Amino acid sequence: MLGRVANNLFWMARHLERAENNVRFIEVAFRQSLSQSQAIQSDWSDVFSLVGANEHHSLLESEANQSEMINYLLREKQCNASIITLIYSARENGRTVRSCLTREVWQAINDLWLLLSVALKRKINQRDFPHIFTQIRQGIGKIRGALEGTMLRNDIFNFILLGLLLERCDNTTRILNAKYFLFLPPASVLGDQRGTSHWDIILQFLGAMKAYNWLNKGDMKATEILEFIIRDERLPRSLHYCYKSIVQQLISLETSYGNPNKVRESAEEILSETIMSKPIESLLDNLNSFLSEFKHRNTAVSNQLETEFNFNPHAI
Amino acid sequence: MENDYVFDEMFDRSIEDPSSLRLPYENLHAWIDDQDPAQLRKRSRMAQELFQSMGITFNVYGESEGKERVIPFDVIPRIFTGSEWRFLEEGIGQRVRAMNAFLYDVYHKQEIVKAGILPAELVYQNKAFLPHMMDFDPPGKIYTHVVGVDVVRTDKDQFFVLEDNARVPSGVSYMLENRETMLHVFPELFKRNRIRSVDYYPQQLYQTLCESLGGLSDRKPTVSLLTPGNFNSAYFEHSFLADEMGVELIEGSDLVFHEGNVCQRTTEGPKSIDIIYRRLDDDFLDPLNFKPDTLIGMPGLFDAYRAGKIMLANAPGSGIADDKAIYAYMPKIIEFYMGEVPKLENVTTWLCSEEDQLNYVLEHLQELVVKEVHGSGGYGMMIGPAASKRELDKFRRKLKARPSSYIAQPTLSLSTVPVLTHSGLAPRHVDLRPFALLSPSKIRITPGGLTRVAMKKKCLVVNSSQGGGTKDTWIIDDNLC
Repeated sequence: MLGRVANNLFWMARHLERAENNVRFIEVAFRQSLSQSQAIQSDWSDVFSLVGANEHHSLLESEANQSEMINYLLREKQCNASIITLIYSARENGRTVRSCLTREVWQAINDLWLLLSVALKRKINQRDFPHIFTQIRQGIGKIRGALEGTMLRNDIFNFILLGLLLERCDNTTRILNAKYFLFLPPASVLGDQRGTSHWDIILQFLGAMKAYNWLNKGDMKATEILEFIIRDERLPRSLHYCYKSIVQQLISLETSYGNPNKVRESAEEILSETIMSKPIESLLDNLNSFLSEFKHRNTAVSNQLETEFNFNPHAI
Repeated sequence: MENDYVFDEMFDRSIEDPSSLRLPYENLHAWIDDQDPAQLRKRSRMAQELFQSMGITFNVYGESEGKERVIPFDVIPRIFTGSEWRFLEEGIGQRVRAMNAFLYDVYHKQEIVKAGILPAELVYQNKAFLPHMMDFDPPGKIYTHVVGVDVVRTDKDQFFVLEDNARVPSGVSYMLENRETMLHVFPELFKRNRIRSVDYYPQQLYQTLCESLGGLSDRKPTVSLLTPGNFNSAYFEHSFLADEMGVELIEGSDLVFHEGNVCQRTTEGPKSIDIIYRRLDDDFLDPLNFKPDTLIGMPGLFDAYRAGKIMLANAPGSGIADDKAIYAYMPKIIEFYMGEVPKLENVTTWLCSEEDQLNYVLEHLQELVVKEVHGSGGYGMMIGPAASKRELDKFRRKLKARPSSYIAQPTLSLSTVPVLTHSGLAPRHVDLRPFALLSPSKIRITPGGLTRVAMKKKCLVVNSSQGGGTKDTWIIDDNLC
C-alpha cells in the first residue's frame, strides 16, 4: 500500500473519531447547561478546550450566548475542531483513497457530508440541537457499521483502526484531564450525594454512565471509576481496551508484511508500563503526571507509526 | 443540408409524429408509453441521487464554493443499431491507427512532411510537438493507447468527427457509471433489449497497456495510475478506473527513484513499477524536462522513460495528433498511412493562420463556429449563429490579432435525442465520444461511449463545464436477435 494512502486512511479514522467525541462533548455540555443557572451558562471555556478549540477564546470573551457557542462548534469552517471541518477532512481523506474503501463505507461518509453540508448551512436553532446531535452520531455510527461489516481485514483495515484507537485514547485522556467548573454545582451542595460530580460528567462524556452503573450498582467511587476507564478491557473507550487492540493491529501488520515493527514494542510497553503497572490509588493521587506521561507516549506511538510506514510524502 | 433541418434519432420527423419512430427505439418507446410519467420522473430523480451519493462528481475550474458538481444525467438512453455501430467502429479504428502511424512518422523520418502533404511549420511550430520525443521508440511503438473520438451526427447516414482526444481523454467513467445506474434504476429495460456490454473496459485497458509493454520474463507488469490529485476535475474518474483495474492510484509525490528504478513509496518501502497510465498533461509530468514550476509530476520521470525504465501511456508528445490545426489534415493523414479513403468524415476546417482562409472566416463569421486551437472543454469558443453582435466583434478583433490561434468550422446541425423534462420528452442536441484502446496486436473499441447532451433547448454546446449532461449509450446486439 502507498504510504500516502495509509496516512489518509489513518487520518480519516482520526477525524471521524474526533468528530464523534466532540459531538458527544457538546451534547453532554448542552444537556448539563439546561439544568444550570444563567450565570454559568455563558462560560464555555471548558468545552472549548476539551474539543481542542481553545485558540478561539475571542468568542469566549465576547458576548456570545450558548446557542452561538454551540453553533460555532458545529458550523465554523475556520475552526479545526468544529464538526463541519472534521467531517469535511474525513471525507477528503476518504475521497483521496476511495478505491481502498467499499462502496458502502464511501457512501456512508459521503452521505454524512452531504447531509451536514446542507443542515449546517444555516444557523441551528436551540430547539433543533438534540436532533442534529443525533444525526451526526448516527451518521458516524453508520460509517463504523459499514467499516465493520464490509471491509476486508487487511492492512487497510489495520491503519483505519489504528487511527481510530489512537484518537480515542487521546480523547479519553483529555476527558480525564479536564476541569469541569462549568457543570459542577456550587461548593455548598458538594456534599449532596445526588449532586452531579466531577466523575459523573466524565462517565457521561464517555457515554459509559449506564455501563458503569450496571457493573457497580450505582456505587460512585473515584478509584472504581478510574479503574473502569483506564483498565477495564470490556469498555471500548478504556485505555486498556484501546491499547490491546492497537497491539493486535500492529501484530497483524507484522504478519501481512512479514516484518517485525518497532511500533508494536512501544505499544506493548505502554500497555505494561503505563496502563497496567501501578496500583490504581497511586494513579488517582498522581493523575496529572500519569496523564501527561500517557499522552506523551501515545503521541510518540502515532509519530513512530508515521515514520515506520512512510506516511509522510517527500521522505523515504 | 438544409439550414434548419435537425435529425432526431428517435423520431425521424418529430416528436409530435409518433409514426416516424425509428426502429432501434421501438422497444424503448413502447416502454415509455407504459410508464406513469410521475413514476418515471421519480426514478429519474433516484438516478440523480445515486450519482450524488456515490460522489460521481466533477470540479469546475474557477468556482470555489460548492466546487463539486454532479453532471446532469438523463435517463432516456441513446440507441444505435448494430450496423450503425459497425460503421462507426470501422471509421474510428481506421482513424486511430492512422494517428498512431502519424505520430511514429512525425517523431522519426517525417515522410509526410517530405512528401509535401503536411506543411513543416505546422509540425515544428506547434506547441504540441515535443522535440524530446525525436528518434525515440515508445514500447510496442504505441503512442496513443487510449483515444476518445468525438463524433456528431447530422443525418441518418451522416457522421462527422468533430475532434480527436489523444492526450489524456476523459469521460470513460461516465460511460461505465451511466450503464450501472441504468441497470440499477431501470432493470426491466435491459430484459426487453439486447444491449452490448461496456463493463470490461477497465480490464481491456489493463491488457492494452501490458501488451504494449511486451512480455516481462519473470512477472506480470505493475501498472499504476498517476493523477494530479483530488482537486483535479476528473479525480473521480481516476480513482474509479484505478479501482476497476485493480491498480494503485498514485500522485507525483508517491514516486521515488530507488536503485535506478521508478518506484512508488509504500508502507513496506519502495516498490518498482513498470507502466504509468498518466492522467496529467505532458507539461506537468516532469519539472526537470518540462514546465519547471510544477509540483505534481516527478523530477526525472521523462529521462527514465527515455531510458526504457518505465512506460508512459499515452506517450508524451501524442498531442500533436489531436491538435486542432492538424485536424484539418486528418483525411490526408489517413490516406497517406492507411492507403484508404477515410471512412468517417472530417468537418471542413478553416485555418485562420492562412490569409485567404482567415478572410473567408471574417466574412462568414456569423455562420461559423470559431475555436481556439489549444482550447478545450467548450471554453474560448464562439458559435456564430447564436452570438450577439458584441461577441462577433470581439472575436473579429481576436482573429485579427492572433489568427494562428484559431480555426473555424461550419455550424453543424447536430442530431437530437429526446430527454425527459417536466413536460415530457423534448429533443436536445447530442454528441458521442466512443473510446478506442490501441495495442501492438489489436484495437479494442468499447461498444457504446459517452453521449453528451445539451440540457438547454436548441443549445449546441454539450460540454459538462458548460452545463451539459450525459446519457447511457446503447448498441443493440443484432447478432443475438
